[in-house]
Amino acid sequence: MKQRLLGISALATGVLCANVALADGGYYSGVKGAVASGRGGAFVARADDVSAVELNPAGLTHIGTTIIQIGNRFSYNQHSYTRNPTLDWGQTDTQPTPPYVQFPTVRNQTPWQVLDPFIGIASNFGLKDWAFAAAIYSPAGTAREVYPTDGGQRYMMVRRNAQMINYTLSAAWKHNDVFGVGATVKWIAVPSLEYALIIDGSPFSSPANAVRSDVDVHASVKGSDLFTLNAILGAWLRPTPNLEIGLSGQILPSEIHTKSTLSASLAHPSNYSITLMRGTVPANDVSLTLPLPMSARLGARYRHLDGDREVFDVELDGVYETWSRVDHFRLDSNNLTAYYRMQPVPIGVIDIEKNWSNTLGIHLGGDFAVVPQRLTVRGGAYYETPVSDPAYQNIDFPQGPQFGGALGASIYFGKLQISVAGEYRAQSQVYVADSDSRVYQQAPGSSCKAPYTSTVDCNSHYLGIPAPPVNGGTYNAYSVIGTLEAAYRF
Amino acid sequence: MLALPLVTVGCGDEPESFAPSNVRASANATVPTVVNIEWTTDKPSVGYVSYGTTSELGKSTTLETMATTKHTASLVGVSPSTKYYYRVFTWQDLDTGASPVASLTTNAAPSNLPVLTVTGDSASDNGFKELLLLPIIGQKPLVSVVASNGQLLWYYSEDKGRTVTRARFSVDGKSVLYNAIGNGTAPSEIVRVALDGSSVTSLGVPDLGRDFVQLANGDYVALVNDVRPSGTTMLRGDKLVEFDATGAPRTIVSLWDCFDPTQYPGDGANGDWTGAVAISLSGSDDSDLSNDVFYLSLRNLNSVVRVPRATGKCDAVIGAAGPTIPFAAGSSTFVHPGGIFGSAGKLEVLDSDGAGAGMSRALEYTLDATAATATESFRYTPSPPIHVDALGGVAALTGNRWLVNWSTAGKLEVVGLPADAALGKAPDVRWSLTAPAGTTFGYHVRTASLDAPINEP
Repeated sequence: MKQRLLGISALATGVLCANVALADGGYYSGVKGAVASGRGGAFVARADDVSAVELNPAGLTHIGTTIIQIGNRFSYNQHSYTRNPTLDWGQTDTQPTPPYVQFPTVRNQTPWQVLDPFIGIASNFGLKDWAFAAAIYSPAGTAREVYPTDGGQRYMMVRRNAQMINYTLSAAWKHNDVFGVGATVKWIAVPSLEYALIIDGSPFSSPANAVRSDVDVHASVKGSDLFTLNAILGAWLRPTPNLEIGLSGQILPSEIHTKSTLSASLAHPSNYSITLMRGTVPANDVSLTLPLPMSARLGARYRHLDGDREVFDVELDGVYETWSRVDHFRLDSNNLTAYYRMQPVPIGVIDIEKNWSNTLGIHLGGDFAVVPQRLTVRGGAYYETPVSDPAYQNIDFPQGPQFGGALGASIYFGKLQISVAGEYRAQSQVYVADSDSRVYQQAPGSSCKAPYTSTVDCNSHYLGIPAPPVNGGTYNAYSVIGTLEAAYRF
Repeated sequence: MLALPLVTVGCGDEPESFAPSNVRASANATVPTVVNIEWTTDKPSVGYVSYGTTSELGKSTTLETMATTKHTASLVGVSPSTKYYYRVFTWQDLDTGASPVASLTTNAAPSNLPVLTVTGDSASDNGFKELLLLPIIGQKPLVSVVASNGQLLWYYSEDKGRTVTRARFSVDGKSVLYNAIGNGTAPSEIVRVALDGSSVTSLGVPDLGRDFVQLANGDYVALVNDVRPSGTTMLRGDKLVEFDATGAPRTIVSLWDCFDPTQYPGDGANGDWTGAVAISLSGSDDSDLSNDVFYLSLRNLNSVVRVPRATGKCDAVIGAAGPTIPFAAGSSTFVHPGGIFGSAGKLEVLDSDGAGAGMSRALEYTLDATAATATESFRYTPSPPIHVDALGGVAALTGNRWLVNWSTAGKLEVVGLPADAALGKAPDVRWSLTAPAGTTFGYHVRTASLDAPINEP
């Protein structure tokens, strides 16, 4: 019965995504902050503005004064997917041979993301060795993706909308200019998290509607989680004036638990409907659990000095993120039952297999002060290992190898610093053969059970797997990101 | 300043190809209208070929049933001298492969095919839009499948000079069967030609007659000459013989056991007594042959006789030879019946000579088992008249239409009447197919397609 529920709950599957933290891959894409972004994310050792609350809170001690930093990230996030052609075995009741079906490329229909702010303030309150900061920001990422409900991707996802806000408080202390430590307490609020996909609601045994079912069901989970706690620790060390080392980590194995509602409706015109009940009472409340990764960042930068003035720097960072925590998305229906054509389908607890892997990102970047106190330019590039094996590739997040490059600049007008950054981030094309696919259509009405070898209950063309694979195909993703930011130092 | 170049080159996995390879098309050596497509795959797979006269394709061969790496499929029922597009699709584990769309031009029709002229509606059920499996007896016998527009879609030449009067599809839908009546140098056989041209086999049937059927279990039942003495002369009667898969014969009935030549001498010449010319089989079911009933057309006895397979008895006679089901008052009688179609409630007869000299007609009777009468329900006498010396046939189609085979006149017609038309009203000729003089059509069957053909009268 667990298998049945997979269907409706699959919604849960991608649900949890959003644009989170200043982190890198997985749910995220890139970093927040114009300076950090312009350096290709190589900012752990430098960390000398308010975005240090996420990347290395110890770096706040580099600020040495009071700073208000306000910025916004604009991005164009184009993700596309071309599903592999398949033979539509579901049509062989009416046709002698399974039709060969090709799928047009689908693209994210909401590629523009214009509101992605960062607001922070940091101050030492006159204390020479201390710094404190507060910040509000949405994580770097693509909050919303919408795809056609009749597109080739629809059995994976048709819509994802995840709004996340981080509220942080940080404190840092340094010993002279030799080393410093810091910490950030982060309150993660998820006011809206939505995920929708199409499932095959066919009540018949051994369905094989890889292309279309008359009882395709549009299933959607919507919910929120306004409080999840996390923390970031950081440190820096300057063994010589020219060398600085930074280290930070998000250390709590936290999860997002949303209180959500589940809705299910037939995707095509029909005389039937779907009713969700708990016991004898209509209900649709579910909870969704989304693991968050821990991370570790280590960076080293060379500072080229002219006296006390830093002329340029080069920084190399490594970022390790424990995305293997995302082995499942978990939807707990608290004993909901879906009724379709009077047939009860218990939903139960559904674990959507993701099987993500830990990732390593390498970031190289630096600044160059073209005109001291007037103009600084910067650049950087990075590469991040894939977050999952291609077999588990899904349209919900770019999961292949990511690479990118960035350019940026800061102009100083006295105490006011205006920074801009432009970044191109792309995923190496990922191809998944259907025979390698491990993402299957959700068919909760199917009586085919593990090990899926029953020739009575399972379709003969899909023996050994629960349902037709639906993630085979070619994935491309890229983002063009611009950040504009103002920082005022008192 | 450190400026790093933007990297814009992807480095992911390249899509794998499951496309079938070494795709080749060639004309079949046995059946020139059949196109054989061959291809290979790296892994065992099943596949099929889609094809059509445009790049949109539209038709498909049947899906292979066994996974293999070397594949063949046959395009059966393609028109001669026509450009076809085709594409191979495969299913390999869970992956789907497809070849590029290619094209070919089919062979020309055989030079010995008489020119077939079609008039009327060949595209709807108001006229005629099905396919006909039809022996064409012209310069050289040709077993053919002809489309309603007159196009030859399949043919096989009987090149041993034997007479062919009947062709049927095998019950498995994979072959064409025909009777080859021996000519002194070549034996009489029932020949089986695979629709895809992959094989030609035969079953020897000495003294084979003009018609045969295949039972649902695959056995053949054929008319066989049964020559016996009668008084001081030898008469050629007929018997109905069943042949199993090994060719072993079993006589179902001999007409000698049904009729006495002294009582019913018939009007045949040269010792040809009963003159059984056609069989119609009713009720064959592969799970139960006990309901199989044969109707035999006895030309020289001017009768149709019914023989249940289970009893092997002539349990009913319609016509002149001691009728057990007499004609109702006012109903036409037939003389020299040709092809027939019989069932529990209907009998359709091509009446060669009952309408008068030089005039043949199509008749239909409603059989009333309770009242034991045959009541005429349809009559068609063409004007100008057509005379059929032998063979021929008539069968009701849907929509108050009849398909009439004017065999030796080289003509087929579909005629229709309004639903409430009075008996004898001349029907409309909705469709016709005509061959040049001297061409004879054997007994036909019709089918909707060659994908899984069935024998419709």
